[in-house]
Amino acid sequence: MRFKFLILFLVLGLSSCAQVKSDTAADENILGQKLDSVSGLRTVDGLQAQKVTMFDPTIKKIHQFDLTSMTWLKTLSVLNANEKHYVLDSGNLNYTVDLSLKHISIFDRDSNANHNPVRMMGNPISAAFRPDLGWLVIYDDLQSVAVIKLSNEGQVMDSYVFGAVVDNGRSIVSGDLQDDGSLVLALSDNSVAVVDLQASLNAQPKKWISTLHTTSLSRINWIAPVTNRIGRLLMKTSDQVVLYDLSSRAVLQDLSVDSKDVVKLSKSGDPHVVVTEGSSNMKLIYTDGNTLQSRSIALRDFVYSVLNSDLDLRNDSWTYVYLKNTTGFSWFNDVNQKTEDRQLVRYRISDQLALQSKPIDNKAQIRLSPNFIFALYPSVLGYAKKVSILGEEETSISKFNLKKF
Amino acid sequence: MRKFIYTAYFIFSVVGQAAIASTFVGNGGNSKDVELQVTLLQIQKSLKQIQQEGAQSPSLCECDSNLEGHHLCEVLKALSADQKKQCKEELFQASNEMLNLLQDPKGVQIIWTMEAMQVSEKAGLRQAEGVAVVKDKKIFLNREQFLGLKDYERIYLMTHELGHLVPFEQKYIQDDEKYKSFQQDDGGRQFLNSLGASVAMKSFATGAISDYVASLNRSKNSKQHWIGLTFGSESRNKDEATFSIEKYKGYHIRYRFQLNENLGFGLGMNRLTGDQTFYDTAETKGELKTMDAFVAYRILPFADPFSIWGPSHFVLAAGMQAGEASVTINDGIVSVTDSAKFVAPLVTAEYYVPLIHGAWVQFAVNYASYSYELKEIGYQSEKNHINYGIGVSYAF
Repeated sequence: MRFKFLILFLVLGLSSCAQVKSDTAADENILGQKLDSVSGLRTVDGLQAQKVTMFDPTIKKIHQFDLTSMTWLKTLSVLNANEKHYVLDSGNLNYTVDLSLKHISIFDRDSNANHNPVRMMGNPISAAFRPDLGWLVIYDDLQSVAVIKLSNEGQVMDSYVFGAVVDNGRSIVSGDLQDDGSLVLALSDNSVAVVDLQASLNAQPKKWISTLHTTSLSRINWIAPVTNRIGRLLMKTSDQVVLYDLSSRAVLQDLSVDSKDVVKLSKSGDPHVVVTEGSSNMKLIYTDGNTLQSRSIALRDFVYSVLNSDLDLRNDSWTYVYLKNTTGFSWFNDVNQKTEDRQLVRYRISDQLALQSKPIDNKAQIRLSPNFIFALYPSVLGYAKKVSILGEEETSISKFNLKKF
Repeated sequence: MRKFIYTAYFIFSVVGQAAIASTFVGNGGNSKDVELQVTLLQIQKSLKQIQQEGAQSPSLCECDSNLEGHHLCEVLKALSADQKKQCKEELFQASNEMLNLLQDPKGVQIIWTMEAMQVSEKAGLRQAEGVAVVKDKKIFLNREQFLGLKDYERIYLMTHELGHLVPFEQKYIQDDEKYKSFQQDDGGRQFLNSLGASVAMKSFATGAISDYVASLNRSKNSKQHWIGLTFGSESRNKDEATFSIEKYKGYHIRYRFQLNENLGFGLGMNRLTGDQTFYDTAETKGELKTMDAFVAYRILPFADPFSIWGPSHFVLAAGMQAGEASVTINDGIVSVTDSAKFVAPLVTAEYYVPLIHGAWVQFAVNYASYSYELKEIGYQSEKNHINYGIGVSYAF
């Protein structure tokens, strides 16, 4: 008997040590994109960001770097320094949002902090952020939704924390901002709500003001506005990937997928879904706005876990980062979920030509841009590197922490 | 060796009285030369014992087993029965006068000289370690030679010289004359030698020799060359830097040449190092190296030569130091080193406590005023630097 327990223990132990936490349930119910400690490196227009803002967990401060010249720009002190922090950057508007447990700080272009313009009781997990439209929608693990209207200078114009119930008991499952500033939400009864955020804030008392679209879809758990196509949504249900049109209130196209085969639900670049086909193929599902597209790619190497998937239709590339020796996955992108043995692969979509396959330095906290990897190393003195994805060029900056403590 | 002659007869071969005058010490003792004081106390104790035991004491003018085979024993063993009898009787009779000379502040003056001495006798010039001047009741001693003797040899020498200052049969004894049963040409010297040897022997019996062993072995502050090693530490609380090492530790090597009792000068070399880890990974190492030159002033606050505090003293010094400070930080990914040079005034205070055989233990406080900046790592040192130390020195 004892021997059997020992065998069971060893089997469990051996398998668990090679796993990344697979918690797809926790990945459901998000608005926008999962929060990251490094700001995005692609602008709303799909271009290369000129700067990066990141929380450095080593010294527990936020750094901002110019990516063109690879120079340090500024360092911001945060409240709740010992908590996990997430960062959103407004790009050329030069304000920064810092999120942590029950805490939001907005630093304007002069680094003046506006602490807690709204109060959330939970840990922020995702956000839809459109600085060009002045909207920030934050979702926490208690399913509260903070809606903040921001000026171009990062000043809070209006804000409110809404509950998860949008209309008549229908609660939020997933959602995101469209290019027109409306918030599209998949609700618990499989309807889709298009929320007028400004009207919601203007209402007395403040409440969700939305237009409901009832659907016959089954359990919508992911919704993504199609890039540059207002009213077109890519959605994943329990058994389909769907292209939906709000104006006609109709499903334009659907593709059957088994949820257990879903590897990644990604809004990095153009929205897309990655599923496995057996153990030797990976299938990429996306849309050009009119129809669903798919690519099946034979794997050169068995992909155990995809940490991050980025689709850039404008540049005809699909880039993903996977773990060589670890199983388990998260539905949503987190390229720093594990920081060892990561491998980056880039394909050209049009002809499926593999353009690159290179390892990523261990322990570095990275963010992908269209052209390069930005990596922050756990250096107390400060060390960051910009590495070309396709080329061999590397530019580094170091010792920036020395005078910033 | 031991010469007595009247004032008119002795000469000093190198320089005259002026040079000697500068080395004057009174007979009240000199805290800086414990050997002399010990010798005088040992003689007094032995003379008192002789007075108590009387001239017929069997041990008087006899060799003590402690000095069997020593020259002093040979002096006594060579005495004839008459000479031994004379030694006992006249030493007993003279003991009171000798004690008076030693105990009376105006009784005898003992004068150090650094120069070699010669005395003129009937047979010509002779080297002398001590010279007694009857008229002035002075005894001149060659300091280096005297300090180089063993304690019982000092008793022998000093008693001999005292014997010149005491009248025997209403007459002061000269070395180069016959005296009663001592009928050699230098009978006076042989007679006084027997008295000196007898008092030295008695010092063993009275315990006077062992009484002062600790005092005699104790390190002397009269040495000229001082070399010391001090282990110290410096705390940094006001440096303006994240990677400021809070404590430096190290050593200080210092050489001092003592010009005279109070003034000296010297050179020093200091090295302090510190290390500290910041944020769990940033190993930070700091080094501080300085060279210094200084002028020292010595203060001897205590007079009692027989306590450990007697020879102890303060040395206050002021000077300049030049140095270099460097800091290296390595967090396993990035390493950075920066250094800066500085020149600064230095003030030190040390307190020396004697050990034995030239060894000392010293307590030091050093203060220097300087500030340096390590721009590469954003480090601005504080201005006031105080380090404390303890160490050992050797004086020779």
